[in-house]
Amino acid sequence: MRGRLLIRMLLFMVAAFGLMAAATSFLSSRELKHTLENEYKARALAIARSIADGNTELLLGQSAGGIQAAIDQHQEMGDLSYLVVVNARGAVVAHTFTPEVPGPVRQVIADMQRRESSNLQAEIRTLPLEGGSEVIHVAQPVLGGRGGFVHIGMDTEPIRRATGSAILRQHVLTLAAFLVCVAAAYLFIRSITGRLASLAVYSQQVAAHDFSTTCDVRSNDEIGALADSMRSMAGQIAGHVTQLEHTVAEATLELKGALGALSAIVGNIADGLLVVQDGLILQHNPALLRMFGLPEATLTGLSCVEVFGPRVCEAVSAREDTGGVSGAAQLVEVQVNRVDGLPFTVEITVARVPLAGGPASVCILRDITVTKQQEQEREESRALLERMVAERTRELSRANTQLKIEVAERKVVGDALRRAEAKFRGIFENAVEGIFQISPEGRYISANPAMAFIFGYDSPEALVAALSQMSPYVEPLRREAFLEVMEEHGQVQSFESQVRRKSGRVIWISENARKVVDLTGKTLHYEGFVEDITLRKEAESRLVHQAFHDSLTGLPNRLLFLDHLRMAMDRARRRPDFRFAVLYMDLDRFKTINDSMGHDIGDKLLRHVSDALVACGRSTDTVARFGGDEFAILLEDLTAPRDAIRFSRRVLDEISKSLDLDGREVTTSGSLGIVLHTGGYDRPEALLRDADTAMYHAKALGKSRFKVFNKRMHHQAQELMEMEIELRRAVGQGNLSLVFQPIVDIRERRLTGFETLVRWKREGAREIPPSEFIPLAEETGIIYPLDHWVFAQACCATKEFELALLKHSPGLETPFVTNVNISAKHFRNPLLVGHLEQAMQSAQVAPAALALEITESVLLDNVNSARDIAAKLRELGLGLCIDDFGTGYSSLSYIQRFSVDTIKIDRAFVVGLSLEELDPGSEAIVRTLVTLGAGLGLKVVAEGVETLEQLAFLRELGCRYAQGYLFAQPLQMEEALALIASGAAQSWKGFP
Amino acid sequence: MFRLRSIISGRNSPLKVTALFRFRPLRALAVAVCLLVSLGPQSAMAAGELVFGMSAAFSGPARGLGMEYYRGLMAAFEHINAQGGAGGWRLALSLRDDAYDPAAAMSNTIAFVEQERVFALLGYVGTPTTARVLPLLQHYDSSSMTLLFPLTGADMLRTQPNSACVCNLRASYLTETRHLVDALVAAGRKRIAVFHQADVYGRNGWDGVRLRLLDYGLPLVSEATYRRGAAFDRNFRREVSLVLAGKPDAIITVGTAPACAAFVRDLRGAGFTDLVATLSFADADNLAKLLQAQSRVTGRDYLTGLVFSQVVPSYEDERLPAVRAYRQAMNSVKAPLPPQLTPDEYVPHRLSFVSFEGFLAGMALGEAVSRMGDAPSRERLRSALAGLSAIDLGLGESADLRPGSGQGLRRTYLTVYRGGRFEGVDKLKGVTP
Repeated sequence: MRGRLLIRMLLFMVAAFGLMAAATSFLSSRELKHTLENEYKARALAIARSIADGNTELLLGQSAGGIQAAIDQHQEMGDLSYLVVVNARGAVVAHTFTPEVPGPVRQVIADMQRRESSNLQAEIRTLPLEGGSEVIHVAQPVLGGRGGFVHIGMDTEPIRRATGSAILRQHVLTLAAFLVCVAAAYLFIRSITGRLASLAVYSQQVAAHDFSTTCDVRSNDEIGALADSMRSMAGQIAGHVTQLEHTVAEATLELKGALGALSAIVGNIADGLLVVQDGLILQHNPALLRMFGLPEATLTGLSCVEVFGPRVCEAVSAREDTGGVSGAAQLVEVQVNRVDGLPFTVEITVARVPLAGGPASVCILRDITVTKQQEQEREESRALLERMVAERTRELSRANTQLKIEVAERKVVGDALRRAEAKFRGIFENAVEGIFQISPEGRYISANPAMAFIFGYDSPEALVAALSQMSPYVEPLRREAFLEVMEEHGQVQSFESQVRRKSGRVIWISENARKVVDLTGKTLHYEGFVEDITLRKEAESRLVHQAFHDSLTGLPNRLLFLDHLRMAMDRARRRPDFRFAVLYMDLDRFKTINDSMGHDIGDKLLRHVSDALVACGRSTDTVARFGGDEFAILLEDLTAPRDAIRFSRRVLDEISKSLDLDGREVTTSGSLGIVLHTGGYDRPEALLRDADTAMYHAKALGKSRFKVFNKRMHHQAQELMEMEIELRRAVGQGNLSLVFQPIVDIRERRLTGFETLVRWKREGAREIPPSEFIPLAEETGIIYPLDHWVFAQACCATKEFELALLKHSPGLETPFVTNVNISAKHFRNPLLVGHLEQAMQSAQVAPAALALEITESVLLDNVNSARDIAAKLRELGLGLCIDDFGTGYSSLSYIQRFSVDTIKIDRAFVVGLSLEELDPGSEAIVRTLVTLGAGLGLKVVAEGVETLEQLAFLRELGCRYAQGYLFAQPLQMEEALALIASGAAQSWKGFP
Repeated sequence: MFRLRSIISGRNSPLKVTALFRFRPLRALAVAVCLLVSLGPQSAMAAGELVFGMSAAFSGPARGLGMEYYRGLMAAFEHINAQGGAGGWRLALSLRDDAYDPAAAMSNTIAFVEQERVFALLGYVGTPTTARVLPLLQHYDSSSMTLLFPLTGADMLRTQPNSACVCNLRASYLTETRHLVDALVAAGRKRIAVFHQADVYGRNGWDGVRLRLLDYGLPLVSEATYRRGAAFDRNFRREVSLVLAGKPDAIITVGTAPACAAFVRDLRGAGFTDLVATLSFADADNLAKLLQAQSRVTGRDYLTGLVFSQVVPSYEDERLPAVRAYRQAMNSVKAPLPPQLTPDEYVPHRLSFVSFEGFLAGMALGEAVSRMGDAPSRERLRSALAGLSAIDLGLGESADLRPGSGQGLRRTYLTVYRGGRFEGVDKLKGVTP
């Protein structure tokens, strides 16, 4: 109902509004279009006129280019869709069309041309163009057509757009109004139809006698009044109906109660009930039928005799005869037969009762057969029971005896078992190794006290309980691994794992276990032994640590460092952005500290340095000690090379701080070599070697420096290495040679000895001066064989000199001494003395004919041992000469302490004597040294005398001995012998 | 009045090119500020640099013209500067891109005159762009601003009101079309059609053809126009059918290189086999390049039967001293183009008609500047130009740069592309494909 009303309303409104919208939009768009068209036309006319008037000159000039420029500019100003200029003859002079002037426009141009040209006015028309567009075309004559025409086209698209949008606006407005009306109508209809509908429902309910609900339509209009009257009417009807129904229900209920009680009594009494009237059955109950074995049926109306037999009928009707209705009930016992012929006794109570159809006999029949039989059965069963009890009692006493015998046997076997178990339990409980049983699933079944002890529990039970809670293994999957091995091999041997004790401490255990199977091969459990191997494991790891670490400082040793370095190189190969640097450090003067202060202090210093290095580095860096005072550091994952430099600075600063060790102040410093460009190396050893090389360069620069390895160093190192190999070969093969520099007595103008100098000519190369190869030899240790070779050769030469002197200068009294240079290194070697002695003996030379030349540095390094050796050499009789005296730092007291017998004045001072302006310093030094020599009884030899002035000066200063190019170049052996042969030892003819 | 840029004397530095890109006003401002800061205090030095403003198409479909003309000018400038400058003055160019758009050309010109204060405007490219600038020049006439050697043959630049502020070197389109129509008629062609750009340039060419045909009493059989800025991939089939509707036996195209090339492509595709002629502004070198590329795709020969009208002789003709000088200068030209002016790749020709014309313009300017002596000013430039009645540019004929109708070079040349090079021809007989 509601829907229909609403739809009708809506249809009406759609029609009304549609008509309205169409009408208004049509009217307004027409008006708008008209207005706009007029406006556009006026504008187009104005533009055309302005073009025609403004460019008259150009148009008359017939310059197509100029005209085109003008109309192009006009078109760019907008609005115009095209411009055409036609000359007086009707030819198009310029236009803005592409690719051609369209047909309609051409038509208009032709039209205009045909007009009578007397009085031409501007003409406006609307022109359809191809593509569906429409333009307002204005043809404007120039000078009344004498100058041609200007045609312009203005697109009407904006008009169409404006009209369209106006219509759209109109429609939108109408739609909005429509929607508002629809909403209002909907609400109104809903308020009426809703109430009517609920009233209809209400009246239907009342008609169906449902008064439970009421109608809640309440208003003061017609519907409200209707609802009120319906409500009052329904109330009255409801009152009547309720009262009537109530009365009927009450009477029915009473009747039903009486009837129900009666039939329940009749139906439920256990005795049979029979009502007979005039020999016909009037009423009976189901118990009666059951009693006689009759099928369930209604016997009413049947003859009593036919159904129950004459005996019952007789008993029933006996009272009839005695007549009367009243009188007490009569009890009769009658023997009757059931329908199936079975006889039974029944007790019948008969009463006469007056009923609607006359008096009737109401009989109660009771079957008393069962009662009689029961009495008899009771007697019989008592006798049977008595017999059975007697028999059972006999059986029980027999069984009891049997049991007693069995119990005695069991006790004997049990004792034997207990003894055996106690024996094995003793083994289990007292074993030193832990013994356990676990189920195939890994659950602990039992354990012995030793195992509990290993795991730190008080009792095996506590252990088993704890282990069933959680696995003792530190490694989570260890238990699974154990079971896996067990399943695979049937046993587990030396299964080592870390477990947690009760206290939480982690220990190492070793497990041996095997599978236990039953006769069918089914796994019962696993049993095994546990051993605490923590001590062994600790010992092992300690050994491993010792193998890779330095015992003094605990730092990694060379092996471990190389391993880390190799890993870093691998990483750098994989990751190009990974940078690392290798540093090599050596403590300066560590040996001196060690020797002078003792190894104890030395060790402490090393520990201090290692601590400092570790503190300076990061946790990812590796600081290693390679033995002695050599350390290597691997800096990993550097962001920039300057990180390594910064680290080096910090290390050097840290180390060079003076420190207090056992109350003694110790100062040290380090030299660092760094390799930053680690890319090109294959072997870690090569990297370390270059770091070492860089460190040596740093050391050569002075103390407490660092140096970054570069290519030049590499080449130098290579060069040195080649030189070293060649030098070693030269020493081995005796490819060195000796030359002899004469030493002269200035005062007596004669030769007093030679200084032996070693010369090395490299194969196919120049002669290497000693200043180059001697440091190399010292550094590489070649100096030992070299000096021994030189000394041996010098001994031989001395022997020859001696022979020559004997021959050519017999009776020479002053000693003739051959000086041999010996490296400072030897003064640390206690075997030196024996070696020299042996060389002199084999050459049969007197020690007094030889003197050793040493530099001052010998005296400085290692004072004690050097002094001992010097003393031994002096005891032997060898001369001892200090070379280059005055250039070092030696204290004068050393001269005395080392029992030196000769000093050589360094050539630097001698050169100072002959400068153009005399160097007063040199003069003073030479003079002092000469005086000193005289005072201490030392020979003083001036080195490097090259000019006569120097000689004259030396002579004036009182220096007695000299050597230098002024006297002779270093001589070959033959030349030296020739010099002696010339008698130079007595008087040198060639003396300047 | 105008800015003098000093240079370090004795140092043979390469030519400086100031580039201001019109689409980046901020950057232009920054560059301008930098220039002011760096050069301000030194602006009063004696011998220096004259800066000329050049607004041309360096981007878009017409950029080939701008690039080539600029390279020719720079070749001449580098040649002049290497020999100590023109009368001691070094010549420099300031570039702005107008993309063949008249509005941009106008704003560029205002910037040149009012912000940069260039000495003169030089080498504008295109008729519509130059036509838009003309009223502006008349506005600036009080400061004697002169537009030198624009690359256009529009007749309005050669008419009376503009002759004072514009100096032309090349022959006008009217001259070109007249000679072209003469040659076509001489070759027996009576039905001539025009395909032209829908603007001043196209109209000028159209007008020239129409007027000359009128002299012969012949009609223009058909015509079609196209909008400026068409690229080579533009489809011209409709225009071709419009032109072919008149059953022409020769077609003259008045357009830019990409449009003419595309038109020729579609024209030949439609089966037209007779002569097609182009004007000098169609940039024969770039047009030939486009059509050769198209030939490689379709296998058809588009270049035979094409006649290129030129305002300079073929640069292959080494008998001319100007050609020899041009070729030598182009061998060493650097002419770097500021990258912000070339958003799209352009591969310059080693030699081209347009750069040759640019070279001649540069040399003519050098002559004019050197005649001003050591006190250059805009007024003196005009009087120097007015005095150049017969300047020998090495073309075998003298050029007249005096203001007036007969200004500049008057000859035009016809060339065809034959055997991989442009050849000058006198007659069009036998050119037919």
